[in-house]
Amino acid sequence: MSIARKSAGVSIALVVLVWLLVACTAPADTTEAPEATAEVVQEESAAEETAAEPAEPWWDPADLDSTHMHICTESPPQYGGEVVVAGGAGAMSGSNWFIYAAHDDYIWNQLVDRDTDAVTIHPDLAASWEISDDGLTYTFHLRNDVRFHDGEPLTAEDVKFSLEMFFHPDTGASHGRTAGLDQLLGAMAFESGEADEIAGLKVLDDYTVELTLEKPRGSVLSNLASFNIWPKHLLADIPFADLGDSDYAVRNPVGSGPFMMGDFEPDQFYILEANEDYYDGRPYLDRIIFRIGLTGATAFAALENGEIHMAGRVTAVEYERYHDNPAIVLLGGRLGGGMTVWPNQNKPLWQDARIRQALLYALDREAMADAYYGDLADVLHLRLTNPEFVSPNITIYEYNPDKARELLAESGWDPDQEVDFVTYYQDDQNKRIHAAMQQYWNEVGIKVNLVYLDGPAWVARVYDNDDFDMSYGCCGWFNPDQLRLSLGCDRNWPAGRNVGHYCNEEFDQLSEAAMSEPDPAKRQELVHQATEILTAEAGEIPVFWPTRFSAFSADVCNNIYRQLDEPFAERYPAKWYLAGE
Amino acid sequence: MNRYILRRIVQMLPVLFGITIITFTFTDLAPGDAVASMILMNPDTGVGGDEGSNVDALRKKYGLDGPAHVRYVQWMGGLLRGNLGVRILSRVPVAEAIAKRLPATLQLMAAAMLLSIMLGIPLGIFSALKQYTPPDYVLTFLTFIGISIPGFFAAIGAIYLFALQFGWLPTSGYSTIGRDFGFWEMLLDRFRYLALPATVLGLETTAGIMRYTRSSVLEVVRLDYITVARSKGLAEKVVILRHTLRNALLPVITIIGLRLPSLFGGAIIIETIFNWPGMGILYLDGVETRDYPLIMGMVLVSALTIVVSNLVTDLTYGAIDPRIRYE
Repeated sequence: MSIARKSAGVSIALVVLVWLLVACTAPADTTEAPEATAEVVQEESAAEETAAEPAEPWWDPADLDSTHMHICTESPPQYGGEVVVAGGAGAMSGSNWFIYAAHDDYIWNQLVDRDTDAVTIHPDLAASWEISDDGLTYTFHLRNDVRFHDGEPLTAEDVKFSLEMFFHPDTGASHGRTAGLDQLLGAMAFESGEADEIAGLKVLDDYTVELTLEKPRGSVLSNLASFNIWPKHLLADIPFADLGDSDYAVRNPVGSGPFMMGDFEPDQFYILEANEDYYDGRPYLDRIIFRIGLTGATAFAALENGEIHMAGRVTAVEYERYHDNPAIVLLGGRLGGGMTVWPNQNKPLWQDARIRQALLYALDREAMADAYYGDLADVLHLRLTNPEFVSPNITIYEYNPDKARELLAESGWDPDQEVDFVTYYQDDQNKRIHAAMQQYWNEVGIKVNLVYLDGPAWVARVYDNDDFDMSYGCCGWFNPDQLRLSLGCDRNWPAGRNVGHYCNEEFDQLSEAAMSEPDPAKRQELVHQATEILTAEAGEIPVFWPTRFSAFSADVCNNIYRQLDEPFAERYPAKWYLAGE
Repeated sequence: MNRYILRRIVQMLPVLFGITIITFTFTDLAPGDAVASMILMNPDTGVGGDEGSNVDALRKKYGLDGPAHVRYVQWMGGLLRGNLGVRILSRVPVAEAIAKRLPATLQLMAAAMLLSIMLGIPLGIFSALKQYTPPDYVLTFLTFIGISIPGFFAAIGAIYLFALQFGWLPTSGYSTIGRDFGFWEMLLDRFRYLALPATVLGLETTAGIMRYTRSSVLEVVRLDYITVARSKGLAEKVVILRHTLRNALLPVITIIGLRLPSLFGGAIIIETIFNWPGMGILYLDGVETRDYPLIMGMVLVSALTIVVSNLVTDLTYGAIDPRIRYE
């Protein structure tokens, strides 16, 4: 029997040895980081001695209560260190910067930036600008001290090139991001190939650009805040159609922003290094490491273990867990818009507004929000959630199943027919919500069949084939222009994403007029009227207005993360710094 | 022998060909395509997507507009010239994409397999020799746990215990990013990242090998020649090592060979959980983005792994067991 004992002994000894080896090495790398930081801090404090003590605190007291900013009142800003982020742009895990990085404030700059309130505009590459009284001409005066990471100066030619690239049909770029520029003079002629240049885009001198519009647009500046300026000298020789395949797009992007592309290991990580020559001063951090593909539960484990600083959007489970954890901050806020049901109004069965109203009356959205989201959602009444533009007189549909039955009876609804509810939201929480809605609708006599598809299959069925009765999906807008752009009669796929094919010409006229109305009060009034029409006839079935948080290490100061109408909200990574001694 | 190998290789070809046709057909039948997946890259945004972009032009640009059989013939033509094609959205050659990730997956599989053999065989022998004693019961119980716990569950449990609770190991990843290590430090660093995923991936195989070793040893121990060896007065050590093990381990080798494909499949899930940069992440990415050249390439590689590991198992078996000869 000695063999038996030996064989077991050997294998156990081997395993113990392996684990010991592994475990012993665990603390090795943790000592390194603080040293490196300390060095930089010393250099920094030496530099600061010559400067005057800052008279004011380094934070704005107004930001202390913000749910989308994390301010460190204990630790003043300091240079050095690195922040590790889970995920990273899709660019690095499969596609290219042109598809994913329309707005990126790590590597690139934009003409203007949005303030931390996400509304006010402040200068970025454009030090100043003038708008003509008729609202048609925008003149941007660029800074003359901005250089790309390769040392070439950024000039008006780069701005012109970037816009042309965007409007050129070969790049297959998207206009959603520059909706405010749809009235740029000559842009459509350029796009269709009738013109070689965009008439309304002029370089006046090296550092001055002029944009001329056909009609005024209220959202030109906020759209330009989402629009990177690309280096003409690196891209001009590449045909537009090949840009997406270029080495620039997939490996070596060069911009003018606070961080430069560093090491990149596909599927593993990419590193952004501080741009020492950044026009607005070197960023505090030495570098930012993006861990590609790290998501979900593994990312939260890594955050709790101190391996990364930024995980992702939390579910209700992590929200509860991190709520009172001082080492982790939850940043975010209410979404622009929210979860919505779209009855397919191409189908006769939904064309009677009373039936759509019945869909809303039948749902106890309040109870569902409470049950399935807790603190993390309210009832949504309209997908446009910018309070300035939501009329106080929109129609609110309180839970009233009797009313729903009444409306269905009046409109001659056939209670035996079954309708397909098609969605790609197939996590447990959403499935419970769908089952509840199915139940509510069943109670008033609308039989719903739930159909779950993955993303691409959903696109094929809903967008390409228009083969659905109801669909369910997310989000809405902060920008009122999107009423017209997303719900107009002519915004069906593929021109736009009017999923439910809502169509009302009066609504279109009002929302269109609002887009080019220069007088803010009149603009507001026009949008208000449009929102009243949309809600009165239940053009869409808004359900929940979620609040979304993402989890971050409390060590990253000046961290900004919000949920708005789009993912391109400013993060100001140049201002991030690590707390500590 | 050579003729046998040649014949087996020729037999593989129709199998692989059939697999490519089936895979292509099903990939093509799945609703949605790469452009559709691109449209949903930012599913929650409403705006910021690709409104107004020319979907048909994109489909044409990415070569998705032709009928399926034409695209299959194009793909097959490329394959015959040794070209697996390019990924639809990123335009990265499929062969390059796979070659980049394959080593990480092989590394993980090799570590898992090594661990399984190192643990499974000795413990299996131990268990057999201690048949129907408490240690045997404990080990048997543990193997059933090992076989029945799903990999993803074991993975999450292992992360929770060894990374979060004890803090011994990193939760996920491949190596510490952005540090310059010396050779030995680097090796140790890699090892720390490898430990959890390899252990979890090897769990089921360990249990399997242990069970097979146990039953195989028990079978051989009862055979007449063992009784003869004992009655000759040979030392127990010699009886077990020379006479029992040599024969008992033959079927275990088959099991090891046959486990390779399932290790490969298991690696896909384990890699995703541990953020291990191997084929798994690529595979999911390929399916989610309907990247058919990538899916085809990956399926071909996995199919090759399976048929080749079957062949190698058969050959090894013949080589070590003189009773078996292939013609």
